[in-house]
Amino acid sequence: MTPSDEQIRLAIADQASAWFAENRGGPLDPEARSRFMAWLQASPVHVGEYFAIAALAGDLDTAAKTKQIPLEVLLARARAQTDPVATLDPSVAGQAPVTRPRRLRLWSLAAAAALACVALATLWLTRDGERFGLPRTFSTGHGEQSVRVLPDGSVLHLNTDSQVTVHYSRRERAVDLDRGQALFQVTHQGERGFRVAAGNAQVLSVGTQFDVYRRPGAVRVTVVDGTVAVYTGPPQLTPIARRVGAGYQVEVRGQVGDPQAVDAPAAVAWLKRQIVFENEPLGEVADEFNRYGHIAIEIDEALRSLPITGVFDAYDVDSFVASLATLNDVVVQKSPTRIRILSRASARQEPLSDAR
Amino acid sequence: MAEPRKAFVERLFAHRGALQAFFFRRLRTKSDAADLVQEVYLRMLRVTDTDAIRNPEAYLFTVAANLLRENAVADRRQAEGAAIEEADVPQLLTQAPGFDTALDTARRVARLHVVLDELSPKCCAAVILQYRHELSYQEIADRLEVSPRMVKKYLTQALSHCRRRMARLR
Repeated sequence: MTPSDEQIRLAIADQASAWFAENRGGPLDPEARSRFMAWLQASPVHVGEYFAIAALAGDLDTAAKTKQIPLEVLLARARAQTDPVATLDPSVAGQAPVTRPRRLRLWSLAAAAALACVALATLWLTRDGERFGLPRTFSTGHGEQSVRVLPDGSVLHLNTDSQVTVHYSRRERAVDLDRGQALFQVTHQGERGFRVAAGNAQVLSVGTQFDVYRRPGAVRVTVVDGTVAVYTGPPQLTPIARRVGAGYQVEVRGQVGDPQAVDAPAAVAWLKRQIVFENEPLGEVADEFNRYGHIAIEIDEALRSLPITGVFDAYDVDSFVASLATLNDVVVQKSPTRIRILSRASARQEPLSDAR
Repeated sequence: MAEPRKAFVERLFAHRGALQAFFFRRLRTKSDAADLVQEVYLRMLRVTDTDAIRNPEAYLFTVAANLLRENAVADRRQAEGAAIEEADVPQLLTQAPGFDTALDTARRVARLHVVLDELSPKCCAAVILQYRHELSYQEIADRLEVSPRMVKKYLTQALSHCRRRMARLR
């Protein structure tokens, strides 16, 4: 069974609840603190859910204070409850919050059924319930993005026009980036590494965040947090790997290039549906816009190397084109089906024919 | 250790109303809330040395409160056409458009009274002892004759259950 978005959301709500209870119990130890931080950094969905639980706790505070039930009755009932421990796994109690199946209570039948689904979903999300050896494919269409929680709790953000195939085994977590771009937020699992293959480029990490962008002829790896090893060729051979740290990027074109310092948040700005450019050639900038939009931007050869700097909404081609129109020597020709960016010289020679 | 903890709880509760208003009400104007969460998230992503942050939870709420303040300032500026530089944060937040009404709160609390009854007796007792009697996990554990870890478990279950049952009310 593949968990639906709703089931994933419920599992995340369970994790948020567990972290909230953990935090309210007193200061976390350094190890738990960094796991909490990693959990928050794993997905904006986690952050949103944590806020929702905090807001709920605020209401719960008021509700508990105004609840008409005498303390003695409350405690008597609680002590009369016979099976509190049996349904919980004491070995996991107090460890870090980990989602797991919850006990079915005597609510309505519908609630029980709903919870059964949750139990299945959480089982699926729990390490112990993880299924091995079945490759799973996730993809996005043109202009679409998605977020997935993988079986080990790692989070996968897929950008537009992208596809990954996930093969998990006991030995390693392997993901093929079949096309496009993905940000991986990897949970640490000791020796069990996390490897992403994009063409002949291989990226190996143990617990970190990195972005892989596969384009024809080149793969770009950007490390947001931690360190990864990047190498080429089949995984079996002992590779000569290049270590790439946080805030660095490498291009793999046949072989691994030298790491370059980059603005990592800018590299993952696509999460916010933004595109950030700093002195990049107009040709590549337009290609980037064409990944998202439905009207293709065509750039005159003479202008392809024109350097562009700016932050744009990936889905707002109009503003981008309008900003180009303000440049000297640039002429914009728009029709319902295409946008052409021409130099003045070329514009005089070839007026826009919209027959295409 | 106790001191930063206390400061955090105070800060959390100082902004509680605003957070509630924000998440339970403004979630209806989805893009607003999503943008803010996204922004908080991106700021969290920029934190590379997690050890430097002694209390990630406090940090999280501080970032959120700052963003809410910025938004409230922007909203007010828009509404009044005047610049506000050094405004009192909580006051500003309570005046921000889209603020939760007492009626909304009353409705949610009434609903929670019912939802609390659906919890197992121990679970329900843990919640009441924590919030109404303001006991520590250890003190609750002593009263319920269970371990503090189990108390944490009950409180987690209670939050998860309430979250599910309240989700539709948002």
